[in-house]
Amino acid sequence: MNETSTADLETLAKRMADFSSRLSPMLVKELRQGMRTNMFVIAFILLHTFMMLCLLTALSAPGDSNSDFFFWFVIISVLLFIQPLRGFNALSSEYQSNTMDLIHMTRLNGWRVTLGKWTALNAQGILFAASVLPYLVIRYFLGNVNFIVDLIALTLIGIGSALATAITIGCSAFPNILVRGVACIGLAILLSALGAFVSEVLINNSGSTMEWGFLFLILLIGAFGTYYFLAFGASRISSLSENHATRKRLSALLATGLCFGLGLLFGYDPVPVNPIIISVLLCVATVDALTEPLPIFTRVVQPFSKNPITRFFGLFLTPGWLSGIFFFVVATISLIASLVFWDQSSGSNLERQSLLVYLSACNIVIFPLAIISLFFPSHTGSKFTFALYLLIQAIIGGITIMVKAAVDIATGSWQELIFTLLPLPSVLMFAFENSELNNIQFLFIIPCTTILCIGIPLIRSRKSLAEFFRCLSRSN
Amino acid sequence: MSDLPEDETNQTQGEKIVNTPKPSDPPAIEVTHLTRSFSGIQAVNNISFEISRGQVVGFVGANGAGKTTTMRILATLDYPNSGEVKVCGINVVDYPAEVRRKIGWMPDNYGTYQNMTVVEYLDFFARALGYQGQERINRIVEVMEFTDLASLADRLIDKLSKGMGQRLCLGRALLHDPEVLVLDEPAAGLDPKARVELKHLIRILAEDGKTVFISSHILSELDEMCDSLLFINEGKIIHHGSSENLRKKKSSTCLVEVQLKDPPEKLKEWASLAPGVTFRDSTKRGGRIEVEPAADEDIAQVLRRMISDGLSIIDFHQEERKLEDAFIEILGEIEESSTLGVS
Repeated sequence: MNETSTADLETLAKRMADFSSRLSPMLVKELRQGMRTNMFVIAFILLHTFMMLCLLTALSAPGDSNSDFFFWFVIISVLLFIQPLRGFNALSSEYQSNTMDLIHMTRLNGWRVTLGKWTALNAQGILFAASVLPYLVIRYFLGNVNFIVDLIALTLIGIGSALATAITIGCSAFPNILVRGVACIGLAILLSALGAFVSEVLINNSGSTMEWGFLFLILLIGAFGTYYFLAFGASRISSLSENHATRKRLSALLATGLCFGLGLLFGYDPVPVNPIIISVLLCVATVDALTEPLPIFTRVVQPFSKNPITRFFGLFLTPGWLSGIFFFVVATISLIASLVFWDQSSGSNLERQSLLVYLSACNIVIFPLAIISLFFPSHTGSKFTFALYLLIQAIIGGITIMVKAAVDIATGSWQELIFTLLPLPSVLMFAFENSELNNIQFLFIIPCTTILCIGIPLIRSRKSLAEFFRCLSRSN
Repeated sequence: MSDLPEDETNQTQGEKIVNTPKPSDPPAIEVTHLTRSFSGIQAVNNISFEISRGQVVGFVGANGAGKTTTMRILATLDYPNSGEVKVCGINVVDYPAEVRRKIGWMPDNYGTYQNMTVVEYLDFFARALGYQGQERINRIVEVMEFTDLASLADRLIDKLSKGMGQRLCLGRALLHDPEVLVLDEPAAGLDPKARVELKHLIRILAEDGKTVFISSHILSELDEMCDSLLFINEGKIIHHGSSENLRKKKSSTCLVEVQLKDPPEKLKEWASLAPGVTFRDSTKRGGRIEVEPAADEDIAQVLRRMISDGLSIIDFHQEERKLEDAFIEILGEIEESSTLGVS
């Protein structure tokens, strides 16, 4: 290598100072790569072409609502669909290109990787959003447009986009396209239903003090969801010696507490908004906890072995599905407590037995783990657990729909027979609501199902459980 | 790089420092009773070995023998079911981040990114390794010079040939100037020229005092590069030592090529009567004979006898035993002993 080429090299390497050293390496890499992709360029050109068309339509027919619809349709498409879709392969592409291991060998941990990818996609989203601002201003001068409302709407779409992007990035940690597809679609349905429910309550309570409470609630869901799904992706790509579980589970419990607090502050009766939101938050965190791989590394468990209090927290905050079972217990108690509290504060006279319906709903979450422990013990704690969990949930969902159809045409004794033969939590849940059946049976069956669902995985993995307790009780 | 250990900081100032191992230093790699299984399949079965600092060690085994699993555990990318693995005295399970600073990992399939140039690739990894400002630029320049990638700096990675890609991957593994290099099949799929280049780079690294742990299927290449060889089969270590030892250990016989002025048949006739000599095959001007036992004195004795028996010898040389043959012989012996054990 002669001196000239060394000088050339230095010039070349200095070009790499285009991004500050303080920026996340992943953000720099993703921006460099992302802005070169065809999808980014095409989406950008299309967006501006459509914006120009909208503007021309608005100019030719001022006050026409069609151009307004078209305007928002394009923005929503880009920010709520195209941008999140780009996150769908964010982490799995690292597996496909065999670069995930190389990243692990650096100082980047899973969290910095997912956060960097999310920030890069959002930075590009902000670029999109900022580039349409001139059109917003021109539309304002053309009349019939409330600039502030438009800006708020754009902000809300931005929050939605950030959350949706976090979800797709989090799910992209699964290399299998089917698993991430099902996970993304499931979450999209769950969050859309939740969003629709909260929006409806928000509209019904428009103008009241509750409106603020709901707005805070939306922000809380957005912030928690974004954090959680990024942490979810991070934990799934990280080496097992990294502990992401504690922060994830604590964040879920914190979000539950905040949601509960908002309920106290603003009051949501008569609709049980906060228990429903709490159940969704805890459901997501519990499914994640129950499908985490099981590393019992002394180093990970050690911080919890200091004293009895830390040991107690370690029981449900350490990584792995074993502690996930204890987290399920904590989550179930939190949910039931929030329901009881809502019941008492709203004076809605919730039937005590209705709590059993919620308990049965909780059983739905843990039931697949019992099945995996019984029939696929070698998969327990492996990276396939999540896929298997989804598959079992899908099969149970299918069976439940069929049973429901059968029950609708069956008579009393046949109904009982069907429920007895298929004691699935989901089946039990709607069987319990069937007035023809004796509630006392369910007072016994549902808690028993809970105990079985918790007990089977613990008994089947007693060696790991013993090791877990040994690590937890081992002083430093 | 304020948070890097002092030794690493020193090595980033541009001056070349040869890592001279001290006697008190722990071994570069220590593997003790390592076991790893996947869904009931034993990939690595209770293996133990040690690699001293500054050594170049070849890791040999058939596909599925457990090479990559062992190497991935060393690189903190997988974890053992039982046993202990240490790199420079640091446990890979307990302190993965510290181990990663000591180790440079090059997988069998080097990772590529779309829409990224060579220099951007190195820049990303340099940033990810914690290098900032001028120091980062220095590291990139140094690595590009070493791997001779300067002329390719602006080329997109996915347009690189396999050989160039391997050089880039080696450069990436060297960015943080690691003490130990773990290279998994670096020469696989390379053309002869690229292979020679890679071998040359590894030799320079070895001269610099780095410990290199390298796996390959091509034994002759490892033989030229490595101080010792580690053979693994079905998750168990079956040999650890120098290639010379391996050849000697396994050679109860040796092959000698003989060229005669006489017709080749004469050699065959002579061999059939000589004790401890077996005729193997004919060549254009003689043939190959197998001498047993293979001690130097016995070979010299055979030559003396041939001359005294009136053979006109124009060439007599001992054929070097191939490592592949030695490896296959060890495998054969293992198979034989396991068959006997079963029966």
